[in-house]
Amino acid sequence: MIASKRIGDGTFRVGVGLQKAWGLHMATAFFFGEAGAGLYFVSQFFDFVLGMVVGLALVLFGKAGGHVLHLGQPLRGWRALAKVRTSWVSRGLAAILVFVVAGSLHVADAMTGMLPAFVSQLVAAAALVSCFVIMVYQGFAMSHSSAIALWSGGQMPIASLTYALLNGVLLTLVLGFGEPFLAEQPETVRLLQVFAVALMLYGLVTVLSLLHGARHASEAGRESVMLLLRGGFARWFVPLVIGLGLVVSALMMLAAPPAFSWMLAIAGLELTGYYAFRVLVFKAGGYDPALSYAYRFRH
Amino acid sequence: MATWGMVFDLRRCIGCNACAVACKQENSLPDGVFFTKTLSEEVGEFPDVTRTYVPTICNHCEDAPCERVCPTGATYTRADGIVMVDREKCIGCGTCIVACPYDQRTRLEPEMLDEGLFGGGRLTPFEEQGIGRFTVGTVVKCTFCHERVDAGLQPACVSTCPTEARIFGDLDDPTSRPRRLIQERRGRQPLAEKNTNPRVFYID
Amino acid sequence: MENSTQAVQNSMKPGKWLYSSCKMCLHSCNTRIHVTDDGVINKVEGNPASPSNNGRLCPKGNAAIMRHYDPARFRTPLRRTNPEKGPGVDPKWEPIGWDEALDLVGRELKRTLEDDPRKLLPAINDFQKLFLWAWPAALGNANYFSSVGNFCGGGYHPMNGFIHASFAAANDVNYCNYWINNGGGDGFSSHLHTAAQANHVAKARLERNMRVVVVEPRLSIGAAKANEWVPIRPATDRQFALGLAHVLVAEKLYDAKFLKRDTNAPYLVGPDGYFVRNGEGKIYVWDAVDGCARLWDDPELKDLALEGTYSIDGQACRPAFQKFKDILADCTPEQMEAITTVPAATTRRIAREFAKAAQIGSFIEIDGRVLPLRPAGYNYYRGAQGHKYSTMANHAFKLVNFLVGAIDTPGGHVGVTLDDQMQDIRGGMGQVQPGENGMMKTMPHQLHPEVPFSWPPNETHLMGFFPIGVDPGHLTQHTLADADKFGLDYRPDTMLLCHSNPLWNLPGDREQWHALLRSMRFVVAIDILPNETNEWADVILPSHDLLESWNMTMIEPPHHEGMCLRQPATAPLYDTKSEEEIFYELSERLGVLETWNGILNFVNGFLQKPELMLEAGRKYSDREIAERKGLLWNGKGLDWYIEHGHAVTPRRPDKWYRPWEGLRLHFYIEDIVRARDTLRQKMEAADVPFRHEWAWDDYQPLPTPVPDPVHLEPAEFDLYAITFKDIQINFGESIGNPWINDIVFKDPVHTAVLLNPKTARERKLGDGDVVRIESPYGSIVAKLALSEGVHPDAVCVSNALSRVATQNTGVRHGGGNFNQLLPANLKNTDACSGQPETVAKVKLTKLVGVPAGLAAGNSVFGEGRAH
Repeated sequence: MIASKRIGDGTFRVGVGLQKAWGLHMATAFFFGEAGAGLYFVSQFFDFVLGMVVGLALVLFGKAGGHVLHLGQPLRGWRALAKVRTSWVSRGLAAILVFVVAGSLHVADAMTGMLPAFVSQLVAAAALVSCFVIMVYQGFAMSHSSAIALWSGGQMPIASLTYALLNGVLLTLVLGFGEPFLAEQPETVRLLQVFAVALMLYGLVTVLSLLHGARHASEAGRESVMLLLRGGFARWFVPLVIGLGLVVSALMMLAAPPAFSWMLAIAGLELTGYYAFRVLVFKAGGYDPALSYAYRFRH
Repeated sequence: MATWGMVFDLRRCIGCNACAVACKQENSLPDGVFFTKTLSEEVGEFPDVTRTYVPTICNHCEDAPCERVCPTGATYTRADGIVMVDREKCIGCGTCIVACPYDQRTRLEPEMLDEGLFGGGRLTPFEEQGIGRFTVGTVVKCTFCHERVDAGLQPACVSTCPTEARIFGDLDDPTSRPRRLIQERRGRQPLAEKNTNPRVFYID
Repeated sequence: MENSTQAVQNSMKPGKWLYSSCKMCLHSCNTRIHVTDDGVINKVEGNPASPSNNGRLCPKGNAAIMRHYDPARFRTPLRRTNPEKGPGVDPKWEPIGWDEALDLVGRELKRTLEDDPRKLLPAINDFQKLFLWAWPAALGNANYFSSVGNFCGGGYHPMNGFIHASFAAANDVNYCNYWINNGGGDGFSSHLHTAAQANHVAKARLERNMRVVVVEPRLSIGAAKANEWVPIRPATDRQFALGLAHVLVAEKLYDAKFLKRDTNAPYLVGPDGYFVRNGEGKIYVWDAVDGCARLWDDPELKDLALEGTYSIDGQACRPAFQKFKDILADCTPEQMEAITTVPAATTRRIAREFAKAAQIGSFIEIDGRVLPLRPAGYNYYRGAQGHKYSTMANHAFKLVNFLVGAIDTPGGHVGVTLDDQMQDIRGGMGQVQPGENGMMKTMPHQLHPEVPFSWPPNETHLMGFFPIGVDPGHLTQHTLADADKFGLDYRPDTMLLCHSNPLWNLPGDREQWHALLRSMRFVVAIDILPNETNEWADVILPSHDLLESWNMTMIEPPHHEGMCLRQPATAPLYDTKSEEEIFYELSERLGVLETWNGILNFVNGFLQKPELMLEAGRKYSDREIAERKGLLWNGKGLDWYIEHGHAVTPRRPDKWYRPWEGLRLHFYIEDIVRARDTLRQKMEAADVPFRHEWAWDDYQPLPTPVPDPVHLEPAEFDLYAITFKDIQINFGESIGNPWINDIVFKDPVHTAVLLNPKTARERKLGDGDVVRIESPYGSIVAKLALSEGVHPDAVCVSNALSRVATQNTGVRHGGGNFNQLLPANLKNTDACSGQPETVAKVKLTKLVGVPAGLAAGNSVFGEGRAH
């Protein structure tokens, strides 16, 4: 409708334009980044080698692979290291490199004890710090983009961290279920379950707060939130991200017996919700019109 | 050294998009790619209704988010304030695209360059002479027609605008036309709240 | 990159600049063309040294390169090999050589001429080579199957000829402070030198605070930029103007001095509609001081009465002004509101504002000449005047200007010549000549001399029955459907198309037009790109495009004059020829070379400078003709034009303002009454059977508020469909150009038809619904887009939606041609001017989806690539 349509959809109308630059490849990379780093992060605390290896692999192949597929000029990807001082993408790439090297060394060291103690601690610390950067920088890269109100409210790095930790806890519960550090210590499982529930609730509040902030930040923010809660994306966002990914999985976790199938099911639901979050928050990201009069008249 | 900027006179603009086509001519842009375009917006309800025309272009912001977020340094600002993209450095990550509040950047996808303006992959001699300036997978945007500006000419969109709704000049020079217009008619920057300090101003 | 030495921007690459002129619409904005050292044209810009377009170009002008390099261009002469003809049917072209093609066309045309020259239907519409239009005259043929009368002005051009002795008209942007635009895009989106006018009008708006009031059913570009948009029910513009006139007269806001001194408003009109004359033919006026009738030029005359009823020799008579006042008695703003929907208070206010802005009584000195200053003008064009009672509509708009004395005066509404031809006179068809009784000679025949009446009719569209109009090509459908009734003792069987697309342009039923095309024994088309009509051709003769050819013209420039050069920027890309060469070759083959040169000498004005006359038996190139036209204008040769590009200067005030000084203008057009009676006599004498059906009431010396017949269609057709063109598609023809497509089809007003949301709600229609739009004459299919900028009674169809599938795959087709909603019949044609109705009463029916045939392929309904 010419009279009141607010989404520009590529036509020469003043309205909210949806970003198309970051799509499925980027969402997938972000997904694997925060799943892999989260898993590694939790695993390193438990010296859980399989978790660390899988975490590294998810970051190396999933995240980096997604980025390579996304890039217009992947062979020049190394150039992205150039602006660590200003660019979160640069910082992220640096963190990935440090993480892959330090993480791998740490895993090798954990398995063989090959490194001297001091170096070992240094490597472990480097792996943990770079892993932590990966767990949050994607959020900063998004919120750094003041162009898109849905992303820039400041909640995005918190959402990243929350989701990464949650992913890490749940994946640890799944991958490590039969492992001694869990099998032999039921209180650890309980603790992780409580952690997971807390993170789910925290994540729920973070996501709602993110939407709340965007809703009142600008016209584009409101349109983005409308798209997610009422518009074309609502049929995915509400049931998957809010419903299964956070609410249902939290309730299940509260009620869950210490059974592998339960952990697997909950992790599956949460990761589905999280992937949907990554995809839909990209798709619903909208630019404000540079100049709009109708907006003023209507509201 | 001048600092180049542009003023859009919204009272003059008739939304004809001669600017957009002149830009396509000057810059050999592929189908669907625009460095500048003029949008329209219906305002009000019948019979108390009008339509505004809003020209848009890269604002060559003083605090350019695109430059800030670029991981490779491909986006840079010339001494005269023109924000450029070095296609040799750009990796096509698109971070600048999502960082630009004005939605003024486009990544060149293979089909944009391969398809040709008439479709079917047949390139006209016009396209053949112009296509070499583009690298697939890199990000492009308005350069204020930097080569024309360097040669003392106006950007193509400015020189063709039938109603002279685009006024280009040195924002450092208090006697320049854009500076005078900004002062006299209270020029305002698009999405000033984004703190990008655009070098493009709107007057109405 | 800063350190890059190689230019990436097209205009900065190594190459050369050439001066030329645009032809992406019919007007001739001045350009400069950049050609690279490799011979590729890579930039076309406005010529910064042109005072007319000031270095500016509209989007179409900016897209010339895409026409030049369009792969769909005709590259060699082509012969049809598919005997089956039909819309969208591939002609299966076979390339042939020029000699073969010209011989073939010459042979077929000769056959037609030997049989009956009237059987040829020529449609020659190159506006920058107007002289080509005269080619059929060399064959003794006036059967112009053209569409020019429909969508510019069947009534418009003759009325300008009556009022200004000119082809077109414009408000004088130099001084105007109150600009009414009614149904025309002048200064914003279309018509005279769009880029130039938009430039000057924007300056007037911004730098002089010129107020703009736009009267239109749709919020057009002009309406969007205006200080005030006055939405009006379609086809009621005349009534709005008469409402204004009512207020101006009732409140005595008119320029009585102007009317008395410079017009025939005081001339006394008898009951028969003619001026009251003495035995020697001199016209009487009434001396208001002495209370007696006197001859108009009686030196004893003290004050001429504008009002009153008098008696001369027992015959009641009234001044022409009083006659108009009598009509206006029934044109109160309240009465007009019932027709136009424009609130009476708005009409009154605008009339008062207009009169106030006109500054009646003020003067200005320009070039030592003291002129009345009337900085208010009522401008209008196709949408306002394209109705059954077109002559009356045109006249009504002019009379608003008359009342405030704003005709041909600084700031007012001024006549615009088609082509001035030479500097020392306002030449061409725009010459001002004295007529009888102190009046200016009316010049209603601006495009070609009057076509004589004939019975049986020589012209299928009955041009001989329209003594003051523009060729009503659309009537060909009407007359051939009932050929016996219209006395057609022949059937046309040959068609010559030259830059003309009648199947797109003409109103009426497509099937009937297709039947006409099918009945052609031979069709030849001179053109650049495939279109709806030339896909029916038997032979295509490809012409150069505007970047490959020579020409010299200055067509319809409102505020400027002087020839504009077109020169080739490259050698022809393909095996094409200039139109001049093609017509010379055909003339030679038909044995009319001598006649053709004679006609060219006449229409180009070469007769005025004998040294420029074309020799009878020679063939001339486009370059040679262009050179002569340049020499005729200012005595400068082609070298001078190549160096300067144009001879454009602002119109000289003595030729622009009141060039008729000392003569009286036709407030009351007695010539229309005379034309009616002369035609009636001829029809009586020839015993034309349909003479009693002829719409004799269409011939009015003054306009009346009678509603156009479109309002009387059956009540089920409850909306009015109108068509519009924005600046990107001004004068059509650019859909298919990728750059134009790229901007046009991103604007939703060009991909769906516009309807007011309230109207839609009442009909339970919604945004995006697919509807059938049906008039009593035809139907189209379209998607709806709801817009507050639409009169509740209107359905607005962009011209971009009116293309249908052609051999040119770049052209996106809409859901049928708007023109098929329009009647191509006499009932809806102005019997005075030949102008057909251009508004259709329609009803909307919701469809479940886009019909399969339309959704497929390259239509506006399709998804994906913009074109």
